[in-house]
Amino acid sequence: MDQKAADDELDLAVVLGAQAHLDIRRALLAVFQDRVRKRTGGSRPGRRPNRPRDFDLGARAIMRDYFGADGEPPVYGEDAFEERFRMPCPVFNRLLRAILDQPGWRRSVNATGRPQAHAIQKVSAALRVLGYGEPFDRSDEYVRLSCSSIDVYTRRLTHFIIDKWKSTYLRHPTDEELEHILRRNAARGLQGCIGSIYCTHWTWARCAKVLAGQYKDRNGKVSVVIETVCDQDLYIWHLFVGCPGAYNDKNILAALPLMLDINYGVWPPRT
Amino acid sequence: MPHAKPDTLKWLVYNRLQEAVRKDSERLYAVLWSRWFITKYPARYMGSHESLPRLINTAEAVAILHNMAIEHSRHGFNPQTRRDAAAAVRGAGSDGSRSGDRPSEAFTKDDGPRCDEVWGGPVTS
Repeated sequence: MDQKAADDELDLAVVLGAQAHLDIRRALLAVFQDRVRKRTGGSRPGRRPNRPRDFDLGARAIMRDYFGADGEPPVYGEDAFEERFRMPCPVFNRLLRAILDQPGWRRSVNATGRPQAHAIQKVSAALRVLGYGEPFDRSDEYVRLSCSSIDVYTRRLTHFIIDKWKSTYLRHPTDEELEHILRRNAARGLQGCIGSIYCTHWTWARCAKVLAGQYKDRNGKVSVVIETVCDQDLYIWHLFVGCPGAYNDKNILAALPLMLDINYGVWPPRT
Repeated sequence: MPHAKPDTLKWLVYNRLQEAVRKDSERLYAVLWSRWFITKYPARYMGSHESLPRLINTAEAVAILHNMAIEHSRHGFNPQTRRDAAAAVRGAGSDGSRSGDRPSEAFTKDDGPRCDEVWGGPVTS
């Protein structure tokens, strides 16, 4: 009991300390605000001006190619759309409609009064990066966004998708779904099989040197392990990323959150 | 795990059945790698600092998009919605319109972004 009280006190002290630290930082910032020069953002005299990218050109090209503009049918059909955007058109429309009015995505006007890029450009550029694994400036000529913008939007897109849909599409199965999965696997001959688990090594090319030794796998490459559980339809029911590459198929079970549940006697495992 | 030395009929049958289920995950990686190429060769251009969270975020986002696409093509994973979808397919098939395994909203342009929506979308400062 004493131990618990001491722990609570310690937690409280840590939280209070962090808050005090933040308060001090805020106060200092307020004091020095007029003296500290802003280091990034905005244009400054003497630096290279922004390139005169014609943003409308990029948006118009995407609309013309895949959705049809000016009453014309689209240049590329459904198959090409699914191939390039890596998802069926209704799914893309869902994503686009969700994102169209978001603060970081909708069309904005910069300080000089010039309208900026459209949401559809940002989404397609980010999807190109994810789908083709290409460098950020690869689609500059088509989408008309700079390398650093596409970097930013790729990051924002992943955050947006995770915030919005992780609770729907990357959750543990409900009881009904679990029963359905078990029934399907029983029909295939394996009673009580929830899914097939598999792990692969994801090469991490730009790993920091500090972490390189820790994340080295058996082939001497720096990598991260992706562990998934999927069912017959290839629906991913469980995803676990981030283990160092030294883990293999077997000993990753020691680090897997699913296995923690099983060790505590929770069945079916819920993570 | 498959049995290492299957010498009885029981183990042979077990290995055969296990193989059938095990191939799912092998197929999953084939699909992921061919669809979302970033899961094959990632992070060639991601900066080194704070890069691990970004790797994790990327993998999760890709998995979510993959699941959305799968759900779309398979009509959801709730057995009830699946039955409803199957009934809808049968209903659509009966009134003459051609519908295969992937019915309904194949490529509905009505649902896609309209030009005025993209052009005249909200412009904010």
